[in-house]
Amino acid sequence: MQFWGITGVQKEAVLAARRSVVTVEEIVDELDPRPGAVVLPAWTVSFVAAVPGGAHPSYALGYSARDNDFYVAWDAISRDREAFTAWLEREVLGPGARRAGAAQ
Amino acid sequence: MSDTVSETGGDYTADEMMTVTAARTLRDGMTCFVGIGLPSAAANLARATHAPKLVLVYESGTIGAKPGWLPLSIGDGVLAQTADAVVSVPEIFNYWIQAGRIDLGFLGAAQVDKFGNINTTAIGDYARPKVRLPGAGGAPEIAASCREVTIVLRQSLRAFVERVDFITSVGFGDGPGARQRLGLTGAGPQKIITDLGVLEPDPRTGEFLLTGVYPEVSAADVQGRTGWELRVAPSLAQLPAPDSAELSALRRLMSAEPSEGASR
Repeated sequence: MQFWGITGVQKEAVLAARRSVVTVEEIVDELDPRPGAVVLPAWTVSFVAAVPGGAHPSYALGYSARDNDFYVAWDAISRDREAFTAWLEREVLGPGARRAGAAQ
Repeated sequence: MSDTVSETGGDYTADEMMTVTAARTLRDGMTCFVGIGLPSAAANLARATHAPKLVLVYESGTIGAKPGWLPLSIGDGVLAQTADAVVSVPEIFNYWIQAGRIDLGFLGAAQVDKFGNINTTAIGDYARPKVRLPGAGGAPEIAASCREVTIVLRQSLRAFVERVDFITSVGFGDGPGARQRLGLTGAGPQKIITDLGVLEPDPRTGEFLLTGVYPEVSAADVQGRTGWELRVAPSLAQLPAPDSAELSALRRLMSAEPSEGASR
C-alpha cells in the first residue's frame, strides 16, 4: 500500500490498530515507487477495497480534487437538525449515497 | 475613522489592523507554525510583503508551504503541492517542534490569563462545564516547544481573565520559574495581539503588560476590556495604522480564489 501528499496520521492509525481496512484509488499488480511516499507492507493491512473517489470530500493527491464547497456547506448544515438529517439521508444512509459521494 | 487613517491606508477594520500587526512581527527567514484563520492570513501577508523567505509550517506536516491563496484548512492540497517537504503529523511534532526547529508558533484562545496561559478546553468546572470548547489540538506542544509564541485573539472581559478555568496550553504557569520547573524548552508567549493593541510579558514576573495601542485606542479602553488589573508599560507604543501596500496585499489574499485546475 503506497500513499503520498499530506499523510497525517494514517500510517500510525493502521499500525496502532489490530485490524485495518484501507480503501484505495486503484489496485495495481506492482507498486511504482515514488520518492517520499509512505509504504505499508501487505502484512500490516487486513483488508483492501478499491473505492475510486473514496476520499471525498477530501482528496487523493494526483487522483481527485478537494471539495472545499462541501466543507463550507457543512458549517450551516451542522447547526440545523433538519438540514443535518436531510444531509445524512442524502450523503450517507439513502440509496445511492455512497456512489454519489464517490463520484465527486 | 479620522484623518490619521486616510493619510495611511484608508479605512480598515479591526481584524485587518490585528492581522497587519501580527504580520509585522514576523522576520524574514524565520520558521513560523501557523493555524488556519488569522495566523495563516498574517503569515501569508508577511510573505507577500516584507518577508518573502518566511517558512510557513502547517500542522498537517507541510513545511515551507507557499499557497497563492488562503487555504480553507490544514489539509488543503495547495499546502502539500507548494511545500519544501511534507512529513507526517507525529514527525512535525516530535522531530521539528520538540527539536526547537520552529522559531514562532501562532496560537488562538478562548480564554487567556495574565500569565499567558491558554484555555481552549472548557469554561467553568471541568467535570461539569458551562461550555465545552473544541479542545487542545496541537497547541500544548506548540506552547511548550516553539522558541516563542504569539497569541492572537480579540480583547474582551470574557476572554482576558485573571485565571483561566483550565490550562490547555502553558504560558508562564503561575509566574516566574514555572516553565523551567515543567521542563518546557520554548520561551513561551512573548506577545498577545488583540483588536485593540499588543500585550507583552514583564520579563521579571511573566505578567502581561500593555505595550502598544492602535490608532484612536487608549490604555483605558484596553483596561476596560481586560479581566485583570492590566498594567501599562512605561513607554506605551502608538502602533501605526496599516499602510496602503499592506492593506491591498491583505485584501488581495483574502479574496484570492484557488486557481483553475489546481488540486484544492
